[in-house]
Amino acid sequence: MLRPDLSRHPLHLLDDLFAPALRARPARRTPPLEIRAADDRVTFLAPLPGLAPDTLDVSLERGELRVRAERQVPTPADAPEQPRARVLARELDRGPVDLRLRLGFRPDAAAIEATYALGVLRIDVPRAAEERPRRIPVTTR
Amino acid sequence: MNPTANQTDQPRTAALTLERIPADLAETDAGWSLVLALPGVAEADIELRVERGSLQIAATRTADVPEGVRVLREGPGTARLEREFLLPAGVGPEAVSASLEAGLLRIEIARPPEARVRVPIKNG
Repeated sequence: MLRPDLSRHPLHLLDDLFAPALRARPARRTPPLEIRAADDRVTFLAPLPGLAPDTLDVSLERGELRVRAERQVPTPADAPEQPRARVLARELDRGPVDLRLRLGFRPDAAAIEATYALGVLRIDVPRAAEERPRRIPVTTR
Repeated sequence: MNPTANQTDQPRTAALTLERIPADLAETDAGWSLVLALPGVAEADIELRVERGSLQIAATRTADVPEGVRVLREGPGTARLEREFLLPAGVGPEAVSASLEAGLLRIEIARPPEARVRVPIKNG
């Protein structure tokens, strides 16, 4: 990608200030998906900032969760009323989202819940009743 | 992706990592427009400062893992997020406005009125 020389621009990006600390953990565009497991459910946390909520579509297809959405990352350069806008840096992820998450267990499909808050999509997938850990009573004689 | 790999029961609050906030920057006739990606960060955990000619954005992201829950694949985690931009001359705190929506922090910086200074030319 061609980028202007930002160091000459008054609003330049002072990344060198943080360079020593950043060497330990390189910056990513979008933080990775998190998967959490409890006895009764598995939870997916997908950081997806800028999603248009009305385009968000979560479905269960052949043991796979599928997430589709349009992303709306606003920039003045995209607005027709700002024809003279100049993009100086473009680091955010954009474009449509299409995620496929293989479950690897039998879900209780009717009880799957998805919420989108603060730019994070959370999907709670309860395990089917027969998949949950069960205590087996021991009879002593 | 293999959810059973990287299985960990370690608490993730031991050390606060520092991350650089990704940003889009554009210039218009009216000023400058910044969009920063801060998914999972609440408004109360974001601090904006205009200081000594720079705009500083700092935020804290907290990952609370409830007891009895195992992290199979580590995501964003707890971290300190920072970014700093040098402001053009004449831009003060009053020129900066910000809003947070769907994990995107949008900052508008108004362009200051252009200072026109006439430079006298000496006759030699």
